Amino acid sequence: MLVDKRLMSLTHGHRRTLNALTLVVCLGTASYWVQAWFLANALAGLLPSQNHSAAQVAGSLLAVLSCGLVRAALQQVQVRLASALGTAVRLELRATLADALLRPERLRDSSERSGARRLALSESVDGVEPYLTAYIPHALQLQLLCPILLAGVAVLNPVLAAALLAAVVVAVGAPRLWGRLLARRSATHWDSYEALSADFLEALQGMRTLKILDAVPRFRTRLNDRSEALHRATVATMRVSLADTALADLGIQAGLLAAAALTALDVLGAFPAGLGGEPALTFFALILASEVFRPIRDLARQWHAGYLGISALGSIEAVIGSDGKEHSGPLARPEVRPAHAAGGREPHGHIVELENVSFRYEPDSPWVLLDTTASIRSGGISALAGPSGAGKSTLFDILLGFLPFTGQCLLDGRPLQTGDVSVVSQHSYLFPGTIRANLQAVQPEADDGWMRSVLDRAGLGAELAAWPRGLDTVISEAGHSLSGGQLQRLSVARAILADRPVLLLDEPTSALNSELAAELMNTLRAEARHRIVVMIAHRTDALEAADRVLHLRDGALHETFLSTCPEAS
Amino acid sequence: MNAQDTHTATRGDDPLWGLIPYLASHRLSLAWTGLVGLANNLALVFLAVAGSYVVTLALAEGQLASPRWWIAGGAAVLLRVILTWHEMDLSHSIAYRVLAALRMGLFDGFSRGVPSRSPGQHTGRLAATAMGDTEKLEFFYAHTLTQLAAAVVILIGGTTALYQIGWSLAAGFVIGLATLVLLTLPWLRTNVRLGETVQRAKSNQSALAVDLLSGSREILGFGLQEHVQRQLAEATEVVARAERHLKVREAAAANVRELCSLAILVVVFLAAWNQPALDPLWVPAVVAGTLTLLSPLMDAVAVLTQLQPHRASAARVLEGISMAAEDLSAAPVLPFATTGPLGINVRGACFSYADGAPALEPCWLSVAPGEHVGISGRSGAGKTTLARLLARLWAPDAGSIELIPRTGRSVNAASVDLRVFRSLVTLVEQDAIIFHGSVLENMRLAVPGTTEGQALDALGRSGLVLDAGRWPDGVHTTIGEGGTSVSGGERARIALARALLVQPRVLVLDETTASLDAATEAILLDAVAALAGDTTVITISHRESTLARCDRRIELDNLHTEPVSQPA
Repeated sequence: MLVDKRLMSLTHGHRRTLNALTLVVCLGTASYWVQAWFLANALAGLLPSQNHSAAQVAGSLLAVLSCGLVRAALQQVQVRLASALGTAVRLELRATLADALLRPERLRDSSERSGARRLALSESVDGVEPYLTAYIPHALQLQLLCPILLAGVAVLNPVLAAALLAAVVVAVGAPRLWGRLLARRSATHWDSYEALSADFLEALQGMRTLKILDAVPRFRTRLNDRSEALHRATVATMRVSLADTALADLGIQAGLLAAAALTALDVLGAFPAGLGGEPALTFFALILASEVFRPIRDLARQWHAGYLGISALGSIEAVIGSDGKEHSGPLARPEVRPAHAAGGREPHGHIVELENVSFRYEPDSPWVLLDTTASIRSGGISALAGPSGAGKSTLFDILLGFLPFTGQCLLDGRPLQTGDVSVVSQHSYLFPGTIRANLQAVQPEADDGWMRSVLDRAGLGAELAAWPRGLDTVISEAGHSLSGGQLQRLSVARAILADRPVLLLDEPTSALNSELAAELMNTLRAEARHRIVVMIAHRTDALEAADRVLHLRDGALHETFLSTCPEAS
Repeated sequence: MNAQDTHTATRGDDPLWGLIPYLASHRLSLAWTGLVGLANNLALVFLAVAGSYVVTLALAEGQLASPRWWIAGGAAVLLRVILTWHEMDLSHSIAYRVLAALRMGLFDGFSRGVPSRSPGQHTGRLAATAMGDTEKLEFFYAHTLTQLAAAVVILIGGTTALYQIGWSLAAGFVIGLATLVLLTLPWLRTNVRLGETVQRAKSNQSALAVDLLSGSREILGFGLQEHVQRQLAEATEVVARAERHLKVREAAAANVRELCSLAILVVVFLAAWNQPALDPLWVPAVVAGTLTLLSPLMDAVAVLTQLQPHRASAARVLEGISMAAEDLSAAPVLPFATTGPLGINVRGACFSYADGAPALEPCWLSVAPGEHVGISGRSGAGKTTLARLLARLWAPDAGSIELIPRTGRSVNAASVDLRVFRSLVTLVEQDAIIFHGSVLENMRLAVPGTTEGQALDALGRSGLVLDAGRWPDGVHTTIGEGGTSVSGGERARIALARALLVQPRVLVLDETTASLDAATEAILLDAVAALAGDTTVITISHRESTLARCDRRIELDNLHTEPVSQPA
């Protein structure tokens, strides 16, 4: 009733930890009941009519203190259990999210916004944690302990219990009336938050361009509007939900005042079932009455955790779907690693065959490939040419298995897999960190000698010698600390080092001058002896260096050998 | 971005207090929240006293308290409902206002300091500061400050009230509280350190998330999923571990505080008991009242310990908000109003990154107004750096760049008002960013109010025709973030069209034709040639066919010696 089912489902598989956590929270609260008993006795000892000895009063007070000690121990256990639960769920959730995000269909989705996804992966996962480790146990505690305590009070004073029940119903029940409204508002709030996050990251990543275009002030206005919208949405949501807190307070204070009144009346003999002259029991009933509200107050303290948890769920569900299951994409080809990295250097070379391959992005968009059959062999560089926008990069994505095509792609007679292909894309991403880390990520077995030789072959030998830290040179985010040409050669080196039977390069020489380009082409030609090398190319010199040219135009792939002037078609 | 030294910070430069000037405009609302909170606490104390008194009265004297007590009690209950709601509503509203103010402050800081010349800067970390760290702080400024202020008032008021009853009561109360504070102090230093660890790990986590998103293609292509998952899991574990330490300590501190408060309770209890002047009828009321007084004070002390971890966040936010401009120059702004193309005179400008690696050796270059110059050079020679200096993204470490009008005096580029400068000189970057939104929205980012016709014209001149098959909604077709749905060649042409709309007097092209086929390259270069005479064009390229269309070709490596006599 109090707990969101979708968030609760995240604890699936960790129920024992959650149950233990709830139990410890409940025990901690129950220790206040014991404390109440001793406190009531001590208070009763104060009354002139009672003849308690000082030792009795002191004994009661000591017992009160030891209740505090027991609670201290319980809280240490509680923190550790909560941490165990929170860590396990966060690890799981982040892995699920990363898995759902690392899918080929995201690559060309123009609605994807990194800033929104970053939010899901970092702050949202962390935001769910307090909900699971604090809000849920306290909500469960409320559902468990309030009835028990009310029953206990009922034994002491049924009228008092009835009054308390009414107060509890107001404090807990009333907010449920607008729970639905809150959920809807919370979703709006989340949309604004996500949009703000997305714009913020995009502005950071494009700050150079924004500065050059003098668009920073305009973008600032946009962000400010978003920020204002978020503020409005948040405050509107809160205004309603904060009424919860006020109502809980009404229940608590009115309940306590009523308890005081009823106790007073009871003592004065207004009710037949009164406990009359036993002050210790009277005080006990009164303190217990206030304890009825402790779970409610505790839960109200977790209000922020509850609110954040529900909000964060929005961005998580945007990634993994609201049914809690991740998309099982039609593209998720079973990833079977090739037995040997480069396909075991087959004596007769490799061959990639396309058989009746068709693909287009949308049912009404033009065909990128239509019923295409072609074969590409190792032994020489194949250039892929064609007008801009014809789908050359798309063909690479088809070979990589990133797009859902019909027909089949075969490598040496078996289905081509992502693990068979290494690729240099037009805007290669290098990870921030050292060159060594970037290279070893794709080839964990690579030693310094191997890495140096590949970098040298990619034409980075001179730079590597000049960089004082060599392979340990640190690259900044997206390789911004390198020049365009260095970035390109490093990407080529990484692709060669991955050592796979198919090497795809999207304009690998676009940022290189003719000398470096020629050097790189020689390296690629050497690689083509035992690999299939396909290169998207525009420049005449690159096309001339190729051994054959594949022309992609209007959904068809034509092969030309010894093409001299490919652009003159 | 180094926050390691914050724990040595003294009160004077404490980042938490350092941010307060940024929130000065919320002073009055904050003061009001404080008053409401105080009134709310007093109502609670009254209810506790009244409740205990009426019960004790019934028990000890067998009397029902006068109706005035009940009416006052009822009024206090209702007052609390209103005050509780009002206080929460107000403080949350301010909290989110503070949040918005901090975020916009951060954006302003980032717009000065990004891109940084230091290679350690990562947009994922900066985004974590803007979205995550600010959230930790909003409540401090909106709620905690007033809570602390109210606690001080309660402390003084409560002590005075207890003193009226008996000095031993007040003494017990004050000594108990002092013990509470003293017991809290030893925890603080380590909490600061742990807070920093959490903050740093979260920042790394965010950077990893951005790398995962920006490098998805590489991760999928090279099968790095496991590698990335492992890194994410490690970051999560670091966060979780440090948070656990922090929470264990916070719970222990809370327990110490609670025991302390129980001890205070016992002391007050005994002191009240031994107070001959106090009517025994009032003893439970005094005990209950003291307890209720104690609770906001305990909360205040608790908040003080929980603040320590937030210090790291505050440091990060303060650092972001006060980021120095990377294009900062000491030159005073001079008026500059001329017409026609502008020449460029680079006089010994050089640049190096924060790690000391020289990106551009001192270079000298003179371009006449309206001239079309091609610059080539080996990879890594600093061509892009030169382009960025020309566009004033960064200021040269030494040397200067001058703008030369056809008539009149030339002026140091750094002393032209930045917004004026941006309308005079524009750069089409090698990896120009296309923003999420439609083609037209991207054009309007450069020139607001651009019409569809103007956009189509600029695109056409850049060699991009929006045919219906590929661009179903024409200029309204949505382009994914970073241009995910467009090819490299399309991206370059959209970026050029965007620059053409600015109608600059100096246009710098950095490898704009690199990913174009020969036919498209020719169209684009025709458009650039058509600017000749009205616009000075500096084309950076290694492509022979592009360089061939320039009036003059220069090798960057030949620019590193100062010319003996400047050409006129």
